Amino acid sequence: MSRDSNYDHHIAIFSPQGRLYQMEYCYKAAQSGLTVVAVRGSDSTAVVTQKKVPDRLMEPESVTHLFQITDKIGCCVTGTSADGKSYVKRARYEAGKWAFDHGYSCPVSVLAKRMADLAQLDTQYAGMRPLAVIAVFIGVDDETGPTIYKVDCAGHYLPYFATAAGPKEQEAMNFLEKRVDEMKTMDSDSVVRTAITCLGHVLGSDFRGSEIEVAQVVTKKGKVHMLNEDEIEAHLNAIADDADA
Amino acid sequence: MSVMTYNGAAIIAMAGKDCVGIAADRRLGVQLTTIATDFPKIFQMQPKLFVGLAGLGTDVQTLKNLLEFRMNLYKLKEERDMSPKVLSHMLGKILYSKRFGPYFVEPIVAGLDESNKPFLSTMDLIGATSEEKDFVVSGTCTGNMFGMCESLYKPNMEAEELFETLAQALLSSVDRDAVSGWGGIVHIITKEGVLTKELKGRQD
Repeated sequence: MSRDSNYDHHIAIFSPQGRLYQMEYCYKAAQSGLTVVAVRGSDSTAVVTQKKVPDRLMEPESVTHLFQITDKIGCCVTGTSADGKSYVKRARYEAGKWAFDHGYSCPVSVLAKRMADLAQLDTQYAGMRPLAVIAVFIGVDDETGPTIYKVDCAGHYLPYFATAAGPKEQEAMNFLEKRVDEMKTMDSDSVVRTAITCLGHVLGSDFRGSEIEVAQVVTKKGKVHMLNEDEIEAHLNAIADDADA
Repeated sequence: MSVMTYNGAAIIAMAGKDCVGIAADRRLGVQLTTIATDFPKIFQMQPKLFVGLAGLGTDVQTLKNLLEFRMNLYKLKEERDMSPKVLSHMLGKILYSKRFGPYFVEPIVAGLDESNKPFLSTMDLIGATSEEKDFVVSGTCTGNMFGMCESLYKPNMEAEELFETLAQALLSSVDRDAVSGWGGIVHIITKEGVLTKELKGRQD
């Protein structure tokens, strides 16, 4: 019988104070990635994150944290990228299987719940460590309209008008809170620009098109659209023009 | 009563000059009672890739959905379209995985590969695949279809002639089969696109 009083630091069982140390450490790992900002408008959602290519020898196109899960669901994962890729692989499988089983495309809320339930299992079973990722799912639901769900490593999942994850999450959320009422009537361009402006604000820098990644889903009929560098530049220019005006 | 002849089907695919055609009948029956005359047996999986599924109706529908699911995962993972050869191989594996409780379907894969060269393959219900250069047939009147194709087929037909040959081969074959027929549908796939025509034959 282990007398090690730090046993609760090694696997996900409760400490005497009622804390799960492993989950807290997992959170720290997940928060150490890139900052992500997602915003929801009147008929579209967008998610924005930094694009940092760690090494000039790497192919820049292969560095991404934005993924398409189905035609209509996009996802940004922050945290350790290996865990992120595994997470995306599973999400793609789960969404596809759901569509196969039920005969219609998986709604964002259902996928978020499923991924959250899977994450929760890792907090109870000693054998698996949790995946150090925070995922932001975006889409436009057939019934409820634009949707953003944030799923964390402990299995919490919540829908949001706008959200952020990663370092500077709190500053980003403060920025977004001030604009939450305007968001309800924002068109798809404003949604993207608000998200980019928020990211720029909290990171304290202006971007070039190659330094950020943007994905959006516009209207119920829309598919996940990863913006290319030119489209991002167009938004950045529009933001700069508005700022000057 | 055989499970493979319960619903009835007739599918032929032929290769032409830089094109492929795939044709099927439209009947869905419960043995000798006709239930539907618009039952789809050919499915467009990609712009230039078609799969024809002949056999038990429920397995036709299920396998089509399963293939779509697997193809979508492939496309997301590999970030490219699935080539006909790969689809054919995957279908063979799916069927063999149910070796001792099979899907009662004998599929046909017809399409143009990346260099727009025709691709045809067929397999039995447990995944034994065979790739052909000229034509492939599947369904409840394969004897008739083989006879018609062997007589009417010639290599390197252009799209219009391929359509005529395919349509005549199908219509004549299903007329001598009680459980297939009730109309036909033909798709001709060229590098420019797909031409689809509906056939009206003997409605019996």
